[in-house]
Amino acid sequence: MNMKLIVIDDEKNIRDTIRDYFEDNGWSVITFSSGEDALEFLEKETTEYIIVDGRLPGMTGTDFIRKASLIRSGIKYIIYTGSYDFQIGDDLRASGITEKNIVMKPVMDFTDLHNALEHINK
Amino acid sequence: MSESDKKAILLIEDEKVTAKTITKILEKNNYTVLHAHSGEEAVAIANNCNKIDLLLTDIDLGGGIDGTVAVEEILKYKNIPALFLSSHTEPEIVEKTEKITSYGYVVKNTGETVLIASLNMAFKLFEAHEKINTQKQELEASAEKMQASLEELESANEDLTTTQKRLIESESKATLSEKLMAESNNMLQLVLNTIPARIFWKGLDYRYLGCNRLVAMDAGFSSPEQLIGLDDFNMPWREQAEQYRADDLSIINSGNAKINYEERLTQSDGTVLWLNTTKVPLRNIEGRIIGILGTWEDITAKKNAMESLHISEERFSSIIQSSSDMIFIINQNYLISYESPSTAKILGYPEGFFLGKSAFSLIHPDDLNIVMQEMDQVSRFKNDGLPTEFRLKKADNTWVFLEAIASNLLENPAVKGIVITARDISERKKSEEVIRLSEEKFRNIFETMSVGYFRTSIDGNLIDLNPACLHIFGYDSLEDAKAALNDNSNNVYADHDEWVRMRNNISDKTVPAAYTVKLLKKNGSEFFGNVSLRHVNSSDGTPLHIEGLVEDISERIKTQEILIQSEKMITVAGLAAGMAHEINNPLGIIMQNAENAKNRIFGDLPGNISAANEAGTDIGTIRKYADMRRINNYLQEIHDAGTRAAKIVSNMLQFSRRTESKFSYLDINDIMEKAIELAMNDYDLKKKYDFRKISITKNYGSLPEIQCQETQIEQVFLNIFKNAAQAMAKKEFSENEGPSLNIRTFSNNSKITIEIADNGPGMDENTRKKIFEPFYTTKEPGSGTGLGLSVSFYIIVTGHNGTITAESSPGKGCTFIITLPEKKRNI
Repeated sequence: MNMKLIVIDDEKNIRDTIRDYFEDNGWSVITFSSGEDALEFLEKETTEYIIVDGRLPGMTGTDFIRKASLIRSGIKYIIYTGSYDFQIGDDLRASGITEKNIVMKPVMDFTDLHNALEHINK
Repeated sequence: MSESDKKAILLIEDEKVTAKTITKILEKNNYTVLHAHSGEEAVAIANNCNKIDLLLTDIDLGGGIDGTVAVEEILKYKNIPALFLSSHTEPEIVEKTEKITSYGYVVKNTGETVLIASLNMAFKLFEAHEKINTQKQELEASAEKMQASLEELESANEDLTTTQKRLIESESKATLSEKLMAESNNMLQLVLNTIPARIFWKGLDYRYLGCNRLVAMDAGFSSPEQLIGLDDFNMPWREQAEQYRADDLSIINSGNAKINYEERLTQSDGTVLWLNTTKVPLRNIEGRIIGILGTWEDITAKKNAMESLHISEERFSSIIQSSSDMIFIINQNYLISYESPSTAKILGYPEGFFLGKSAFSLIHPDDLNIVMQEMDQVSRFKNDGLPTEFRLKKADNTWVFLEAIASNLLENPAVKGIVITARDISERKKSEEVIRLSEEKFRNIFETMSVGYFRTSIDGNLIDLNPACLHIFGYDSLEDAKAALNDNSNNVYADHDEWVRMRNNISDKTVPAAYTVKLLKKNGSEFFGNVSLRHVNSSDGTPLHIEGLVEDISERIKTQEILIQSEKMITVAGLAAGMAHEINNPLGIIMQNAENAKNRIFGDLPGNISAANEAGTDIGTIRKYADMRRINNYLQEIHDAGTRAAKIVSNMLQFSRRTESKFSYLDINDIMEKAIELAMNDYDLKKKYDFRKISITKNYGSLPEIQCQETQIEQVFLNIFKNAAQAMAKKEFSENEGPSLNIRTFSNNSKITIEIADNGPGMDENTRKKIFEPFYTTKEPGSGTGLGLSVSFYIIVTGHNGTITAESSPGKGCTFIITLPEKKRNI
């Protein structure tokens, strides 16, 4: 059955190529350019996976996860960030986020991202 | 007496004071005085002046002809008496004057009386001499006449003889005694008038019966006859007359003489003289007292001299009394015969303590030798000694420093001893000690300061330098340095022009400008030195020499290099952190798009087939086309290039990455072993440089475990291995030599040192300086990021507070030296 994935990145090209890759692999993907839009969506529907950019205009990736966790539980998150100084704060750790949930942007190969998603153990 | 009646005397005397004194005396005694300062002048005056009655001359006239020669010269054409006046009493000089027609010889300063009497005597003698001369001539003329009449006379004589005989017999004896009396009278008169003393005699009525000329002069009369019949109350000395009368009375009454007593006498001009008087009773043939005979001598001058002598003695004695210097007189046996009053005051002994004691008693035993030597010198060579310092025991048993000087006055009849003047120099000694301590202090600073100090002449010749300076330049001694440097500093400055430039700019300021210049050690090696120079001037501002300070700042420059390096790293780190995110997004787009493109042609996706069909073709045709047109390659290359860029960014980000792995206590040797193993198995190294072919020598010291991040240190070692392998691969080794790595670790001075040396091609100084700079690489494009050593530097210096440096020269290989601090583990 189709896996459900939400991709949030303010860079259209990034979210579109990720969407294309996962759709090619039979996933069902929805993209958003901001955390606010994605939260709005989560109010109505849920998903199994979310790939979220660390640095977003407006709500940050961290804020988004914390808020999303309050709305929906059981979602597996990947923080896809280009910043090496990304820190997992105590609040994120409380939401179950560890180093395994962080993937440095760019990945050398989409399989890295793919594997990362599948290896998150909730 | 009219002026022309006065006798004129030519006084020849070179000493002004003496001349003045004599002139005064002569003028007082009614002589006209002409004064010549020299023999020559005297001859000239005598030549031009007819009216000279007598020559009164000193013998020693300083320069020029002496008195005897001058007199001889004058007497050649002038017939006048000459009287010599001199302080000389040596027989040969007296003899010399007596060879000339001399009318006497007066010793200088014998007093007015003697001088005037001698003058009178000289005139008299001269007159007598003249008379004799004329009489002689007359006698000679009449001699012939006499001879002729002699014969006539002879015959008459015979007749007369008989008559005469009778006559003589009948002549009264009284006539004969009258003649004798007259002769004796004349004689007495001559004595009275020429003797340099006053003589008078009085009758029983105290009236003067006679006197000599000098008494008459004292009384204001021109001749002795004028006094006759007067008594003392009629004289200028009437003030003293009463006393005189009393004395006369007592002599007459007692018949005893009063001999050599002092009394006053008022002269006609009012001057009061001091007299030495003797009065004796005058007796007639029967022995009855008929009067008094008296003589007196004017001793005023002597009295005055005594008085001034007394004053002068008083003065000297009070000077000695109040002087802070001590004066001793010792005899030839070194016994003290005199001590000045200050001695007791200064040394604390009772007055007279030293008298009769040895001069060497109380002198500090250590100083005794030098004092005895000095005394021996002074007493043997009869000269003044040198100032001598010694210690003397005071009454309170403390030692006082004295400086004494001895003069040998053993032959001076007034002293007959060695005079020692001693001074308390304790205070001076104290300040000398202060100066010595201060000198020592500065000497210590000079000897021990770490900054090099040197002094050269104005043209640059070395005079002195301190040990630090020797050390900096590597010389053994001052002589060693002088020998090498004194050809105008060619061996000190790497660039001689620097020295010239500095020397031309030397300032006189206390804090001179400092220059950083390249200097040369004795062995020729260069180093960076901080040199400052200044002139040392004399008090009038002339430069005497140059003094300078020099510091070896090579270490400081090295530290500075490292600091600059760190600074660069931090800048890069800051930039990287800011840039990474912005670059990673476009990189992500490039790579993700390339991957998707590749997947949608070559990937085994259901969408690919359906899309191809929809487009009116099949996926196989599209794949074939893409292969033929090498689209696959393009996409792969886009992806690879993106990967490379991403790696660079990732490496750069390590500068800003916070500590992620924890520090733990580890043995560096273990980490080294792991790094070597990793290098052996590294795919890149195996493939390109064959790390296994490199022979590795390990020389591990025993190291304490230190706090470090294992993976980071491992990364640093691996990086150095990679660089070494790449460098050695470029070198062609000879048959018996292969690529090798020499690894050494040791612990020293609270730090661990790791040396990794390769025998590769090495590098030049310029390259060596840049190797730690980010993006500096000597490798071909693509084979390195140019960040490996920068990251290593960052890890060691910033992450571990250590140092990393490289030493190399072309052809000699390269050695990396890493030091890490040993931090004690807190248990």
